[in-house]
Parts: sequence; C-alpha cells; structure tokens
Amino acid sequence: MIKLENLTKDYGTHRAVGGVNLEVPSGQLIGYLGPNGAGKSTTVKMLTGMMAPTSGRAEVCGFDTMRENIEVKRIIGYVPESGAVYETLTGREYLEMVGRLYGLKEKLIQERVEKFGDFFELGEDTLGGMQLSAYSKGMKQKIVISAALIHNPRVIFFDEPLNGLDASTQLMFKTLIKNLAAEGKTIFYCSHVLDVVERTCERIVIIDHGVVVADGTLVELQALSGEGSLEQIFNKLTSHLNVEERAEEFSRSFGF
Amino acid sequence: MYSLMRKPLERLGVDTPQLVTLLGVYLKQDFRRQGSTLRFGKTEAVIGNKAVLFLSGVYIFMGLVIGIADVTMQIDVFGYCVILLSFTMFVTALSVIAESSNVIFNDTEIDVIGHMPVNDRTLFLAKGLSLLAFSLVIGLSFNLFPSVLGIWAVRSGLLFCIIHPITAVLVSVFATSLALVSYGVLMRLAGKERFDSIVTYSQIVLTLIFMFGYQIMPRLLGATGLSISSDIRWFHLLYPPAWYAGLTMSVLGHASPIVLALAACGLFAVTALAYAAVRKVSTGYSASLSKLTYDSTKERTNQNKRRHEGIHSERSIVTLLKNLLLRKPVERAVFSLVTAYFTRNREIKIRVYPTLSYFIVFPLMGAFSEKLNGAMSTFWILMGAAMVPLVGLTAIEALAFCEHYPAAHIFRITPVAHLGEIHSGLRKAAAICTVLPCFGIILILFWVVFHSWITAVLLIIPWLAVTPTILMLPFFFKEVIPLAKRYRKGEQSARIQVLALLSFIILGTLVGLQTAAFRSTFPYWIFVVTSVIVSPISYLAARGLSRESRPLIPSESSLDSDAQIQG
Repeated sequence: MIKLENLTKDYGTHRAVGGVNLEVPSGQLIGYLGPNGAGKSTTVKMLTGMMAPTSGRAEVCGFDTMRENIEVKRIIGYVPESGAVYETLTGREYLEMVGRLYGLKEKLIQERVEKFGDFFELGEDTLGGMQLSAYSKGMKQKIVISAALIHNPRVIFFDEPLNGLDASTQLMFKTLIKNLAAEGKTIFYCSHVLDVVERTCERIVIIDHGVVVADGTLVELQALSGEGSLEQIFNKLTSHLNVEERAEEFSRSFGF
Repeated sequence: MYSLMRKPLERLGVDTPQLVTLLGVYLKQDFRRQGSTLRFGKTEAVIGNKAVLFLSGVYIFMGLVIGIADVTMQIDVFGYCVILLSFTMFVTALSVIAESSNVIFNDTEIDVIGHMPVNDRTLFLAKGLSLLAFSLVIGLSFNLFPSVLGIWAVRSGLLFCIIHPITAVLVSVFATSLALVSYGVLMRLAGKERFDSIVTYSQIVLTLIFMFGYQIMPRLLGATGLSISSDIRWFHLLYPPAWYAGLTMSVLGHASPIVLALAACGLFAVTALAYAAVRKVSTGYSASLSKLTYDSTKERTNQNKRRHEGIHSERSIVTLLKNLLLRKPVERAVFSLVTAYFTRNREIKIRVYPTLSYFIVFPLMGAFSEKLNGAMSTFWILMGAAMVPLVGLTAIEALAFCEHYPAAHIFRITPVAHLGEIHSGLRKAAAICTVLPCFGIILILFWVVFHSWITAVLLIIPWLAVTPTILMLPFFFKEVIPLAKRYRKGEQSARIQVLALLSFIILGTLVGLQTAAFRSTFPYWIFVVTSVIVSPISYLAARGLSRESRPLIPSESSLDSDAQIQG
C-alpha cells in the first residue's frame, strides 16, 4: 500500500531524511515516531506528493508519488501538522471546497459535512456562521481532520492530529482511527505523543536524524531494546539519556 | 459564459469545476469583510474588504480628475486614451506585483491545498484570475468617469463609452499576464537556491520597469522631440498602452494602417501572454512553490546560522553601534525582530522593497524633463529627497502586516512599560534598513545631476533633519505593533495611498520652498538653518503629544487582527 525505497531528502548540506526503506501493507495503522527535527514531517510531505525527494522513490497504492502525483492525491487524506486552513471561509465553506476539489457530488458533500459537524459537535452557528479565523485551535483542528476524511480516502496521513483537541475529542478520534484501520484503511500516524502511539498503533517505526532506528510491534521493540514502556524505548534509541538528571540540573542552575 | 469557456479550458488541461471552486474561495478571501461572524439575520456580507473599496474610491476620484483635465485641454482622443491606458497599465501592474507574494508565492497555502488533487494549470489559473479580478477592480474604477468624459475628446464619439472599458479590461489582462509570465520565467530560470532572492528582487525590477515605462519613457520621447500623445507615429508600436488606444481608434472609425497595426499588436499580445501564462508558465508551478516553501527556507536557516556564528565570533563595530543607538532592551528586541524580517522574510521583502523604488522615479522624471534647468525639473529632482522619509513611512506601514501575526501576542504578554519603546525600535529599524540607504542613493543621484558633492549634501541635510518627525507620524494617533496584522488584499496599498497623498501635499510644499531657495528666490542657508532648528523641536513636540509614554493596553481580541473564541 505504501512503499518507500531509499527515500532521501537533503536541504543543502543537511540530510533531513536519509535513505528510508519501508513497506506498509493495506489496513495497517503505523506509528511514525521521532524526536523534533527527525524527519517525520518531511517523510510525510514526500509521501503525499507535496515535496520531491532528493533521491529514492515512494509509492502509495502502486502510484509513484512524483510521476503519478494527482492519482496519489486522489486516494489520500492528510492532516498537516500546521493545521493550516483558508481562514476567511466558514468551516462549512471550507469543507464544501475540499469536497468539490475531490470531485464529490454536492449532495454527498452536504451529507458528509453534516455528519462531521455532528461527530465533532460543531453546531450550525459555528460551522456555517463563523469564519475559521474566529475558531479556537481545537475547533480548527476538527475541521482539518474532517477535510482529510471527507472523500473517504484509502490512505490517511496524520501529522500530530491531536494538536489542540480536548480530552473527549481525543478519545473519540483514537477510537475513530482504530475503526478506520479495521475497515481496511492504511493509516500513517506521525507523532511524538508516545502514549497515543503505544495504545493505538499496531506497528511502530522510530526515526532519528532521518534514519529508521527501530521498526516493529511494541513487543518486538521491547525485546530489541530491553526496555519496558515505549517512552523508555524511545529515549534509549534516540540517545536522549539521563533526561531526568539533565532537567534537574537545569532547574537548579536557573534557581527555580 | 461558463459553458462557453468550459471546453477550451478543458482542452488546456484545466479542471473547470475545481477552477470555479478555487476562484470562489480566492475571491471570498479577497473581497469578504474580515470578522468572526458573517451573517446579519440571513444576509451575508458579500463585499466588505474596506481597503479594496477605499482603493476603488481613490481610483474613481483620480480617474475623474484626470479625465476632466484631459477633456478641458481639448486633447485628441488618441492622446486621451494613451494617457488613461498608460496610467491603467501602471496601477494595475503595480497592484499585481504587490499582491503576487500573497497569491502566487503564498507558501502558507501549500499545507492547505498541496496534498489535494489539483493540477498545476488549474491552480495557477485560479490564482491568476483572482489577481486579475483585483486589477480589474482598480483598472475599471479608474476608467469609470473617463469612459464617459472621453465622448467629448476631439475626434471621439458615443461609441467611446463602450470601447474604452473594453480596452481598459484588455490592458488589465495584459498587465496581469505580463507579470505572471515574468514570474513564471523566473521560476524556471532560477535554481532553487537562488529562487527566493531572485523573486524578491525581480519585483523591484518589475516595479521599476513599469515606472520607467509610465513616467520616464514619455519624458524621454518628449526630450528627443517625439511626443507620445499627439499624432500616431511608428514609435507608438513600442508602447503597449498605445496599442489599445489604436483599438479604440479603429472602432471609432479612424482606421489607418498604423492604427490597425497598433490594434493588432494589442490583441496579439494579450492573447499570447494569456496563453503563455496558462499553457506554459503554469507547468511545474506546484513543484516550484513546494521548493520555495520548504527547501529555500531551510537553506536560508543554515546560511543564517553560519552568518550568526561568524558575527558572534568577534565583537564587531556594528554591535557597538547597535548598543549605542538602542539603549533599552525592548527597543533593541523590536529592532532585531524587524531587521531580521526585513532581511530574511520573503513576504516582507516582496511587499516592502518594491514600494521603496518609487522615490527613484522623481529625480529621474526631473532629469528627463525637456528643460533640465527649469523650475519644475528642479522641483522633481528635489522631490526625490523628500520622498525618502515617505519611504520610511511606507516601510513602517508595510511592517504592520505579517504572515506570522499571531506571534505578536508576545508584546502583550511581556511587561512592556511604554509603547514608545516598541515604536522607537520599529522606527529605528525602518530608518536604518530603508531611509539611510535611500539617502545614500539620492546623494549619488544629486551629485550626478548637480556635479557637486557639497550641493548634494546641502540639499539632503534638511530632509535628514525632518525625517525623525515624519517617521513619528504613524505613531501619533494609534499604537503600532510590528508584524501584528494579518495581510488583507489591498490594505497595504490603501494605507500607503493615504500616506502618500497626505505626505505629498506637506512635502510638496516644503520642496517648493526648497526649490525657491535653491533657485535664489531667497538665500538657501535660511532654508537649511530653519529646517535644522525646527525639525528637532517638532520631533520633541510630536513625541510629547504622541502615545509614546502610554503602556500597551490589552487588546480587544485575543489576537491583534482576529477575534478568536478560546476553546
């Protein structure tokens, strides 16, 4: 379903993603983890056809992300980390625009907008009466998630999708993505919130400095690293040792 | 119209339903009133961007004035068209250039739409049409009254009021397509490392080209005995507004081989440019935008990091000067923030730098006047120096807007005691980044024109003295927080129009006095001494009366430009 072959991205002399090889079968919910600046979002941007790799290639559902760019975009949904939207539109107008760009029929768009509005508890006053610039971060994120799912994509890329969502919406969202995976959707979940990945993803890939340092189920990673929780595994693999000691020393030096 | 255009567009590879959707979105963004609520009862505010309405009003008024002036001078209809269409081309092209950074090179948009199945041609055409809509608002506003007044021009007729708006539309399409094609060519020619800076500086070059075409070329032709607005001559084939004036002449029944050639040039040029923009330039647009958004930013960050390391390796004279000039920490922080955006942020550079090139035009206008020794020639040359404080004002106004406007909340969180500390940092940054380099350029221009360094320096001293007071003007009535407003189409242009009009009257009076003194109506030293004495007094008075000593009050909304509901 998703295939990365030696996928590399360089920014001048800096290598953001260094030869990643990965295969994600259909219906898998994969957690793509890494510390800040590890290359997670860059990988996703290359997979969604938004950015050209420096070398290597990627495929989504058999389509090359560069040569068959539009075909890839038709079958994927993407929640960007930035949560960017056209802020002068209302939530409803934005979702209608996205539906039309994916070529959905008007009736279907309206049905789905209503469904997402109900699911995320966005009333008509909010959805149709307010510009997105007036939404809170969480409300805006609900619209971004709705926009990524409105065309019922086969593959979904989530880049920090829980940003700004309240606890109950987070719970609803986690249940939703598990169900989507159970229905056969392939989900590529990028995050550094380890707790969520540990609970929802069946396979975990850890990337550091643009290179995959671990790939497997939680049990396999535990066996590989000899650590218990995903947090401990992550810290060990990404070389962030003695974090507690460093934090204590820092607070002492500041006189907190 | 839609069904008529659908098939040709689809043959060009444009997805028409997507085009209509995107264009609708862009037009809503441009013309809709900004605010949290759209509905008043059940009525939606369709057009509400006050800045666009204001600009439209300004151009309607300008068109009325120019139209009346031309008609009362009993000018021939060809000259009348050339004058009006030259101005139309000038203002529409400059608007397109100024707005293109927020439309063509909008890098924040790629996260919204970059992953959706929209092909390059559809996206580029939607953006081009939204730019065209804006240029049409300006072009048609300006030509509203002249289209009627032109009926009374010599050799004109009733048909004029029908054909002139059409030629105004064609000129707007020509100017928009020319700007789009120019950018497209640049996108292809520039490597990804140089693309960012090339695009930035190309805007300045394009601005200068249009200014040169509109202001300098007619004077150059006049100085060489060739008039742009009298009889129809061969050299009009080199001047695009004359092509469309030729089209008007053909329709009015004054066809001749040269008139038909002009009309043919106009029709061919607009068709060829529009075709090139859609068919050729749009190819690879998304990829170029992606490069611009992701690659160059990180490249630049690395360069800045290296530069930063270099600067901090030794205590430079620049640091010492900074400490001397910026004594308060808040002032220093604002100065550093603003100068960083001036030098690194593409959006700021694209919006600020082209507007700075305006001031060069005035001395050139004077230098290319028919009588270089005449009073008007001297006036225009001296006006160049008077425009420099206006450049600073323009920069300050442009720096109010930024794509990262929510970050301006930092000024309200931090314990800033006085607004004056923020204002002062912003003023000093604008002065150092724009005013001082501009004075340097003017000094060289004056030296070239008057062949004397001493004369050049003496001519500039009064303007150097008056600049701090003029830069104080935006802070006189309101608090100005740098980079704190979301950019809205036309808003910057509208604010600059107001400033330009007000300043032009005040500065024009001062330049008149300086011209009189320079031409020995009264001793020049009186003018210099008076300006040097009066300027600091007026600066201190302005500072005392302004809001400088007040604290920063809490904003009415959580962000400076948006009411936001907190979750």
